[in-house]
Amino acid sequence: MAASALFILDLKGKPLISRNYKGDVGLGEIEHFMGLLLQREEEGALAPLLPHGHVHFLWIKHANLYLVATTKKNGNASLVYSFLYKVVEVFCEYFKELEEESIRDNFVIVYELLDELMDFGFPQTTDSKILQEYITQEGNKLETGRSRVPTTVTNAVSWRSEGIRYKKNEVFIDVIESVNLLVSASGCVLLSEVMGTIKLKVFLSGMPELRLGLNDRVLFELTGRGKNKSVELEDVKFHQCVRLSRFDTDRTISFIPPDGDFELMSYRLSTQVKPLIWVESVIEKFSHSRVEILVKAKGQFKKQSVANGVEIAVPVPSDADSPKFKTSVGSAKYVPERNLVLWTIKSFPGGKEHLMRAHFGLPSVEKEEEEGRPPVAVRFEIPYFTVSGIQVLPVGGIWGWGGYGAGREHGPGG
Amino acid sequence: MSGNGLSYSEQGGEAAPELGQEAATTTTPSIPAAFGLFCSDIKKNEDLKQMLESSKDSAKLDAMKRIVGMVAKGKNASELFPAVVKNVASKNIEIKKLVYVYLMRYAEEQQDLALLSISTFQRALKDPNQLIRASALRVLSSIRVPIIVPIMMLAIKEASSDLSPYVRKNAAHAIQKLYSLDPEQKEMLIEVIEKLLKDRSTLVAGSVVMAFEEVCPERIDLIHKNYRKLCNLLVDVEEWGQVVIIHMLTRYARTQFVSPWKVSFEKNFYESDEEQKEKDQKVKDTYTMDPDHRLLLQNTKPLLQSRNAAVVMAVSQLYWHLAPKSEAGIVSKSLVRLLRSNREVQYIVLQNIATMSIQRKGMFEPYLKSFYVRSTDPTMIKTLKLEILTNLANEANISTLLREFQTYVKSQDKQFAAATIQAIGRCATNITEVTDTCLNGLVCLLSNKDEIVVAESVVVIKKLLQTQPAHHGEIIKHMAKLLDNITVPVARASILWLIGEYCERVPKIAPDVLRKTAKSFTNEDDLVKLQILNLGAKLYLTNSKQTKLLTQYVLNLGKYDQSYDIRDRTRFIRQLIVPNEKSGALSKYAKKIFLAQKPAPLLESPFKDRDHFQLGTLSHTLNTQATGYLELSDWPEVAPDPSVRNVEIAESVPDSFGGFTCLLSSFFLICSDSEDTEKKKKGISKKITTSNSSDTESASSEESSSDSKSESDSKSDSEPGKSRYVILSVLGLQHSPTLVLYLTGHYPSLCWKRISSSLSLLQTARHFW
Repeated sequence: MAASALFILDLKGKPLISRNYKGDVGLGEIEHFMGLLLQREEEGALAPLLPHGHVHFLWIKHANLYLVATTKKNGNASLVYSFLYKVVEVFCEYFKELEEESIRDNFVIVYELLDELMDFGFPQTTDSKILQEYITQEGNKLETGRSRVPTTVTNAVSWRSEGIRYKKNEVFIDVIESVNLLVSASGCVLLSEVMGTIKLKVFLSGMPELRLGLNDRVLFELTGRGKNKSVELEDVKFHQCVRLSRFDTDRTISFIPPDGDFELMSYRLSTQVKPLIWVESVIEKFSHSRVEILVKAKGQFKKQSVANGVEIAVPVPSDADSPKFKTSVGSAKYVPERNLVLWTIKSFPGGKEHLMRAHFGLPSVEKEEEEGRPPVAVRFEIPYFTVSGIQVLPVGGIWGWGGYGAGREHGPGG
Repeated sequence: MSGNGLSYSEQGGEAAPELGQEAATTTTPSIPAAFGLFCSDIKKNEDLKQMLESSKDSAKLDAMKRIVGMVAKGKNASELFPAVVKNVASKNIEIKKLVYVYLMRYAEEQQDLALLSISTFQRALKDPNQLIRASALRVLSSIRVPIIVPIMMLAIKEASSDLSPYVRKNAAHAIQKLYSLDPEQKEMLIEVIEKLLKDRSTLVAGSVVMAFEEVCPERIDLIHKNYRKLCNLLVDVEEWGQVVIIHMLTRYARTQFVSPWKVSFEKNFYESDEEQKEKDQKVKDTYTMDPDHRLLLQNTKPLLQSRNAAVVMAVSQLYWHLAPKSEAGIVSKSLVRLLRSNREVQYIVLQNIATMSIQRKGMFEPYLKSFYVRSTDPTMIKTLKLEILTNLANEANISTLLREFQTYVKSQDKQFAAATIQAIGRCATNITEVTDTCLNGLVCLLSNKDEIVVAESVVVIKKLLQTQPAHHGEIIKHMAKLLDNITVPVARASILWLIGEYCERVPKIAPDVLRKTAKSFTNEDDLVKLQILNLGAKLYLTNSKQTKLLTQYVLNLGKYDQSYDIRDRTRFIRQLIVPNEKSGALSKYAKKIFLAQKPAPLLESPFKDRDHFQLGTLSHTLNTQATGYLELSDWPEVAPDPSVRNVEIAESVPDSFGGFTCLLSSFFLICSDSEDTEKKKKGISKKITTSNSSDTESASSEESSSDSKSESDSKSDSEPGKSRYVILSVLGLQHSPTLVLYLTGHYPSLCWKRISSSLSLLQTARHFW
């Protein structure tokens, strides 16, 4: 169905590790992959799916690795890609970062994981929390000689194991929102949307049943509460643990949470959002000699609020040299490996306007191809403020939520 | 040492084909290093063997870890096979796991030795620990040794009636493996699949449907009885299983239900109005959606909120293929959301949206802006988005779209800019109101600095002019001027063709163009040469006075050209237009042949013909049929008997307990000893309990032991005696709502304490009594 074999290749296309699940596609087939990839790249017809004879390569790239699934039969393409990204996620949880080195250092675990993630081409347990229970990093637990078998795999609630105990029962909630804006060259906002995630950090004993309330407009209308400050959630996706059928009928978000950190839900709103920090840039390029950049940033939020850790990344040509900066506030730094200038401002109060000038030298020999103009990115954090105005309302859980301390809330990130 | 040396060469020989490319690329740079590596391997192997034979588990484990490391790196560790196999019976679960991993890799190569381990597996299959049973079955079925097929068959049969759902799940996986090893077992395997399909555990559902799809997708009759159960279980199945089940159910539904799409009926001329009305009435009456069809749509809808892109995609395709046209719209929102995920997922989703948007524009129109291209998108995503934007264009939004396109044309990505120009061309042909605006815009682009943009514009203008025979003169003149500067062959050829085609409208310019191109003939691209010949021929026919000599000259040049294609064409044209004694009757019609009215090219979407593939499949992405593609059948004219899906109520009682409890609104009734009300209830509940326990004693006991899905179990376990819980499920079955009571133990009376929500349902329940 999904994949016959899974390969992890380094940048040159050499297999670092491979796992053949079905055996109907030879392991040698992978040799064609890199050639095909390069050929397609040259033709400019690069696609995430490369056919070679009867074999199809479905690949993704992560850091300096290629993850390739091969298949011979008609599979479900979206399932394969979702799975590959899941694999990356699981490995990242295990090794902090997934790269060539971490694979080389952990062959045994990677191989075991690959074995556990998929059986005969069909994805299995892919929840890293559960996997971590029985594929342990060091295997120290074995010394005790007790052959503990995790019950979680066989549970219906596959994301939480039984018998968790905490002295202090706590839940922390983070609401993190980011704003996506598409602005035309003339400066008018074409598309604006807020993408938010609600993250939970749960330290609760037993099998708690929780409910989360939001100032969701549909819910408020259902229950007949006032329309004050409600938010219309455009579309929502939930962690596996949320009872989707419940949400569908009466908009309650009820769930048995996994232990520790997890992302409960993410939502999207496409309301008209006024950009919080408006950045205008003038980039003048005198070919063969220099580039002059003028960036103007304006805080368009309430005067009482302060944006922390503002980072404005302005892209510059890759062959620029000898940077010179002048800023009205904060500091600017040239980051040559990412080809940009990073202007950081520790605190940026609302309604203020700041300027930065940068000057770069350019080599007299010009590159042949013209570079694209990547966008200027802004990243910031405003505590206790959400763009969408979403609020987490305390709602009693079946298991007595009232006893737990309420958490903290975070503002948006760029 | 000599022994070592010998085995080195052996191993080197074995390793070479094994490693394949790796050996070719890595060992070449430094042979001494490679030698050292292998030498150390040999030494390692020796001490690995010793470690494996030691009595300490920690040493064994260490050795196994190193061996598996070698396997993972692609090194040959097969000579350790005998030493490793011995450890298969190890008590330590960690060692066991690694031995299993090793066995799966090498058993095929060393079949005889692998047989040594079989008895251990057989023993492990009877282990009290479900995880050990499951993994033994898994490894046993992964060993691709034909001799053990009967043993595997036996093991699968046994495991399929195991008490643990996890073992049953693994049995379902083993079915596929056995089938790929020996397809002759198909009949027996189908029996097992049939049995497992009846299983009520959510763990098993996904895997067994997977096996069904793999082994016997044509046996759709096996699904009938399980259809409703699968629909109801769906929300609780793990996400990967959901995808598989949804795809299977899509196929199933297409064979079992009538199409919900018949909206307009053809009017029959010869029928009187009354008859027509009657007929309308009849059609309306007959078209009510099968309740089972509705059930499927209902139960998949909440899954649109899943975090797994594959699930969302699967539900979307289900709605696309099965839902009435008015309802399919709900998926678009979720699909648009997927555009925020990784780019490969985006790629697949956009392709599917592109296919959908051709047929039903309305679905995605409100989300037009979501498909605006971002400068950071990779080219493949950009072109797909552009494709969708073009599909969505209509009279209302075309002006905003064109403005957006104008920005795209300025893009640094030249390939993308060219695609945009094509898109403008398509908009212009599809929406007649803006054809002029588009044409003017494109003409403006002709003075663009960038050559590729100009060339692409020329090509598109050529196509547009063919569809718009009205105003040619000016534009053709303009393009004739451009000819001096454009070097891209396709564009030059297009201009020449245009001038030739409409040479009568530009009588002064055309001969001059021929003169210029005749001069540069030898340096032109083949494509352009052919068009020069073409132009010459057309001019010769319409204006032979001025161009006779020129054409002769060009034809002479063509006669001695290097390309045979051009020589052929020259010969052909000469025979056709210059009559001599040999040329046949055809030359009389030369003018008609050359200057015939040509049909305008159709500017169509490349996604036009993709909709016959099931969305979301690999075949759809490739636009060719991949092996194993299962065709979606057309809707049947008359729905097959729906009663085949009916399940006996008696059967559905334990059934509903297994899976339905968390799906359907369930209530907890707390029974306390104090109050003494509602005796009736007791009566009903007792009756059902008896039927329940007598029916499948083993099933329910197993459910409560291993399947902690039903919260009631865990709760009643945790507080035994204090208060007993009754789960009351209101089953929303189609025809007769059934109430099921499940009792844990006996109790004197019941009192209502509402814990869960849904007041209205509660009232329904009260009413029922």
